[in-house]
Amino acid sequence: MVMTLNPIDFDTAQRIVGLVGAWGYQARALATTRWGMSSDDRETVRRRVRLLSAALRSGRLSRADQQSVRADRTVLRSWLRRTWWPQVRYYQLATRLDVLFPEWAERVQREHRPAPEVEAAWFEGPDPVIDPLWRVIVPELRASDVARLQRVVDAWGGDRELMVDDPHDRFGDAQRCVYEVRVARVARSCRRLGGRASLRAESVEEDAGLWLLGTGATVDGRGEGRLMVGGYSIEVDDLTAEEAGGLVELLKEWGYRQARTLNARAWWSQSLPPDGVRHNVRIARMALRSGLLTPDEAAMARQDLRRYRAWLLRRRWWSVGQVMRGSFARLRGIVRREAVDDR
Amino acid sequence: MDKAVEDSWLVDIPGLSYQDTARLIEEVSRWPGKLGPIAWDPRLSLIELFDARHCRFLLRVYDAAAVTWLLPGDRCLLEFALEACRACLLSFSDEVGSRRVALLRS
Repeated sequence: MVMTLNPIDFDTAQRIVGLVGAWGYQARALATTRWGMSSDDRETVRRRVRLLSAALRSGRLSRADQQSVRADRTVLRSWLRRTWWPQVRYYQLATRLDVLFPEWAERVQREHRPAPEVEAAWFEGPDPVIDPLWRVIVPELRASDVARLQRVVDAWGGDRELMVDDPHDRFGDAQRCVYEVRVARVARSCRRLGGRASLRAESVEEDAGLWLLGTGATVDGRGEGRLMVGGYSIEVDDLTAEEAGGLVELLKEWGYRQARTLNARAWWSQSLPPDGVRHNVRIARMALRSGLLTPDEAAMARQDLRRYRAWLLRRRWWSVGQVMRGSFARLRGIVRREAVDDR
Repeated sequence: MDKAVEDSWLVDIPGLSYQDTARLIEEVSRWPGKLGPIAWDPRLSLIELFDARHCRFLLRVYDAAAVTWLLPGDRCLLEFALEACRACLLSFSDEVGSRRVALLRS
């Protein structure tokens, strides 16, 4: 059981430590300037597990962080399993019937002890060194080859997991990242930017800013602002540069000539579902209309707009090209028929 | 630790039983001042203690998760968690934590 009080002063804290110490507990007083406390319900914990999995999938964590995340996820899952409501009811029943069935009650209570604290791992040692993380980008990867790749990774041994990410992910270098932050900021300054697009712009500004801080990327203002679009992103836990190179060679043997390695620390990745692309169109358009972009930024924004629109057209459930071609064909047919009739 | 500087405290009592929680609540309710004890069942709520180091770790983790595709509810929790981590780092007196927050704000 956990008990909380209003923030208490030092003397009260010491009094409580002394009191429960006499009952056999090893309590400690913690200053709130150094320690915080959080309480999460089951739904929040479930969401946290999904966030941890997403962080692992992003391929942007150092090895030490990955290990900590896995340990954290195991603890959270274990807590979720133990606190499943039938388990809780079972425990409560055992507690109520402990006079009648002491051995059984004791066994149940032993098995359902509260989850262990997850704080221990964070006390000592410096922050982990950030190693370069590698991914492999493969345009047009076939589903059958994913299974083949999985077999290759399994053959490497160990408990390594292959993850294949969305082909809509885009990767930009630091210069590109700075440009996106700038466009988002300019677009947000426009009052006419809609609610969702504004949220999207805010999120881009935030995410890209954090990435720049996290990677320590430096921008000299003369970069090319490179952008890599499309292709499945393949990630394997702790993929080294050599292994990534090996995978690319293998994929080239299988016919994927455009497969390439990518250092996840040097490339900012963004997952863009269709709605995100639509918001980006609005953000770029608003930024262009504001007239606050430099000529270079405006040129990039126009190029982006063309790219986004082309992507959205390709992704429609009906192909615009087909409809246009069909309309022209019908028009040509009508013109020909009329020409024949005229003769 | 300088008790004059640290004016607000938590007490961590690992393994406190139900019976002893009730005893403790009864005891502190008699003390002067409104301490307002609240008992949390660890099977219904996951209670965690964290320090600045853990906050910085969470910032890195959530930062990494932010670049992936997430369900709207998860994205919402992520944004809330990032805010909470930053707020905690601000409130912590840890020097490294303060530097990190300064970086995030710049």
